[in-house]
Amino acid sequence: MRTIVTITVLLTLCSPSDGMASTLHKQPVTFAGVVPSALIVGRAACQGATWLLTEKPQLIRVSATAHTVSVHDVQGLRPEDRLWGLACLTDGSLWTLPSPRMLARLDPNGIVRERQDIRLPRVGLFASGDRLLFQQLPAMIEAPVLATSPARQPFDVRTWPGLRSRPTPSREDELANNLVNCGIAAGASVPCWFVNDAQIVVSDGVSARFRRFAGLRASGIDQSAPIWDVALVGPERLWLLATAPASGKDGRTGGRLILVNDRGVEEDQLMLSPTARLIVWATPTRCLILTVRGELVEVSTQ
Amino acid sequence: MKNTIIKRLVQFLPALAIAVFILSDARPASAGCFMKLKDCYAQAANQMDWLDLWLNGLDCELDFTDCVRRAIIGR
Repeated sequence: MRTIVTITVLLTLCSPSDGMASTLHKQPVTFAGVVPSALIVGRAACQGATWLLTEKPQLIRVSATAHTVSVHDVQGLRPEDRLWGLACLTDGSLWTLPSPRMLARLDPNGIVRERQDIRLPRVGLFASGDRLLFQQLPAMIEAPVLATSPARQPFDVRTWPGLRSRPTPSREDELANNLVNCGIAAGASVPCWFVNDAQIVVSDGVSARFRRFAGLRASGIDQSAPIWDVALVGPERLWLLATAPASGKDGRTGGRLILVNDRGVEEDQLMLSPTARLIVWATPTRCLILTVRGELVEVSTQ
Repeated sequence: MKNTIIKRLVQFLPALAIAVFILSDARPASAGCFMKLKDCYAQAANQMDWLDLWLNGLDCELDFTDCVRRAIIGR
């Protein structure tokens, strides 16, 4: 009996739990400019800034170091365009999908400068280094769901190791079981996950590592789609934003921020109120989040 | 043509059930995704050519994907 009690106490002390005090610090940060409330349909971090794309559509640049937010209306669109996804390549170019079969490059002022036809429809767009990372349809069962290509050579496709299409009863089930999202990358390594799964796969295009986190099983997390956002800040270190139970007003948001340390261990966590729309920017010791109230809040380890 | 629509809708029912479960707490706007798909399939079925029917049906599913991802992934 004494052994059981001791083990229980040790396990409680050694793992983050709802009842454990967090050592993470949270404080609002004043930025020049405001992030609009329109639905964000793409996020890309590169060259010292984070770019957000809304469905309004607007292109937003957030500089976490300069504390500035600049907003530009996207121009040069066609009436049928409906933007989704945002990728920033190592050359600084920004790409988005105005339609599943079209790729477009935006300049920093939000003007469409270039268009590329793509044969097979793409339903997700991210980046890894100098290549676009995308989810393409149709997906073959148990085949990689992600692939890469240069922006201007859409036929030079390489499969992306990691997530593989999950078997479904019918072709139409592909959407529900195989929709993918990706977080903020660290170099060429990108964290991605199926939106209704609790497992993250980190891949650099050569190899892939699957990672699960016990903290995602905690109460107060939407278990139907527990991962809201991820920012990779090292080979093992990452910030993980867990999905809060949906509220009617805000829909799905991030309600708990979990810090995973350099050993891959969940080191600390913080409940967020107000909840978060997404992670804007992250370093090994700091994480900047955008709340549902439009505030930019920094969470730090010190 | 009508049999094709019915067959596709029946085949889609499990996906609808799963998607309803996933989206049950999502923004209210997502509820319209299913109705739009149904209407889109009905319009696609009006195509005389089989290939046009199939391509329009694929477009319906791409539109549905867009609708659902905005509800689930959009921030």
